[in-house]
Amino acid sequence: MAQLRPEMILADCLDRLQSGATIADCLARAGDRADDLAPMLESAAQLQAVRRLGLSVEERAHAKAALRATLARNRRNALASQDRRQRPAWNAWWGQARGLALAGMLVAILFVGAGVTSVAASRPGDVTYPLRTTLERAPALWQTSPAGRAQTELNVAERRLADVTNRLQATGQVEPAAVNALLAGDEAAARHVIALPDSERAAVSQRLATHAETLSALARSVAQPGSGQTLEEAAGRASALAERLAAGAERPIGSPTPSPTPSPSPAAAGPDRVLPSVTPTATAAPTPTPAPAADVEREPPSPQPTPAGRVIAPGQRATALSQTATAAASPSSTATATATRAAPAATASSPIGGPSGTVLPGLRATALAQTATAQPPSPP
Amino acid sequence: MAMQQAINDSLIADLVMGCQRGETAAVERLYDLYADRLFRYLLVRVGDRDTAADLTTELFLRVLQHIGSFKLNRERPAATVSAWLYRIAANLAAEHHRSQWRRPWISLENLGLRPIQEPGPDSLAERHEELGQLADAMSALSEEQRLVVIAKFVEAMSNSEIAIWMGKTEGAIKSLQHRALRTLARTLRSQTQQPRQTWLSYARK
Repeated sequence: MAQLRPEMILADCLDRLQSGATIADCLARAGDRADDLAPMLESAAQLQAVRRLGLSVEERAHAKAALRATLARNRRNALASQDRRQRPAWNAWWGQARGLALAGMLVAILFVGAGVTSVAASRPGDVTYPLRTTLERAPALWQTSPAGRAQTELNVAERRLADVTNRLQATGQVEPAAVNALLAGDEAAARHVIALPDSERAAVSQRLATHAETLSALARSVAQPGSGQTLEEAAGRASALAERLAAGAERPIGSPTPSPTPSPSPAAAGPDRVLPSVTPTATAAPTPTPAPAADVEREPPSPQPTPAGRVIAPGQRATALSQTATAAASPSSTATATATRAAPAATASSPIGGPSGTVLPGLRATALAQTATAQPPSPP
Repeated sequence: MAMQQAINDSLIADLVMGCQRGETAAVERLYDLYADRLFRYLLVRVGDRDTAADLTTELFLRVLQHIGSFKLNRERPAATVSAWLYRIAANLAAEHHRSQWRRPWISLENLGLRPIQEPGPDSLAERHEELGQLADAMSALSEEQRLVVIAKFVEAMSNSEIAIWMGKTEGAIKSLQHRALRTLARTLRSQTQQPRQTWLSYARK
């Protein structure tokens, strides 16, 4: 054993110790190496004493409780981090949706802006011009006083008059939309001031008369007969409104008025029944003359010259004037006034007119037109 | 083969995967397998039972903290896990020694006073003293030498088992063992010839 290397001798001794031998036995076999081996074997024995030590039950339970608490905390953290991982996905979706929404809003704003610009810059004849004429009347809605509304409507109507004038000068044509918008503004203005004092009515009436004069002047300057007719009719309606305001008409202006029947029945015509032989060419001429009801009532059944200078026989007047109303661009006050003239006989038999024949000025045109329309034809 | 009687590669692989999934049962099973071994290692390193127990718990808490990033060697799962656990234990022991060094304490013997012995049998106080001396002596060894002597004498592993565990030849293990015991014996003998180490001994570690 003395020839063996020291580590081999030690290993042999340690194996013997593990097999149950004592340190003394090992040292006895080590010979002159015993002095060197002794402290090492004692150290080994000291280490082997630790082999018997271990954790107590309480220490193990305490440690496992700490481990379980840590695991539970780790699970909560994992769930929280999972939420955080999911949240960016939701955020990304929301970001995309928000981007799309913003893009959509931008496009909408561009479209609306372009539309508003197009409408604001539209001229008579454009597709968006009717929308412009409607929108420009909107400020009248938030005027609190009737006079203010009337002024706003008149201002807008004068813009339409300017549109008509400019269009006529530029192209020589009349824009019906502008004319209709002008008349709508005039009627609205008259409707707003009808119940106001005379001074305010007179001011509006004066402006309406100015419109009528301008339209008449324009009508005279137009070379095309159709355009001139439209302007004459519009001038007549404006003039009628002005006169009615000046006279203090009792019927609210712009109230629903039944349009005259295009072809009055023979019964409505009464004694002035139109003969079938009357040619409709006689009705081609416009009849813009505004006829106050009182004047019509006093009017004798004599032949009247039309604005075109033509003379219509009394028996032909109903048909001729009714057809004139039919030929008018819009079945409004002009046609109503015409129908009033056309049925003097119907006035006498009308329950509205009464036996005395006194009809309220504002109601006469409507009543007579209704009579002409509603009465069934009687046999000849 | 005391170290690996209850440990085999497939079991360790399953336990590690269970721990990585956060399964309480797997964590507790791993604790049951390794806790006493690591406790004894730490006891030999720090020389105090309560400290060793606390450090053992701390060791497994660190295992839970890092198990997610632990890469298991599929060829030697048990050896990989064991090496990892002992490395953590060695780090904990080193941290403990550093914290003891930072904490100034003076031995009662150096002050000329007799230490107040803990209540209980005398053997307990003697055992405590012996453990302290042994821990001091173990600090003079290299980590390989410490592992060899602990595996050999504390865990009762054979040289061949230690060789496999540490990835060395059996001759290398015997050589490490011899040098470790010689250093250990020399250190222990010097400790008996002079009073217990002061904090300066920790400063040298």
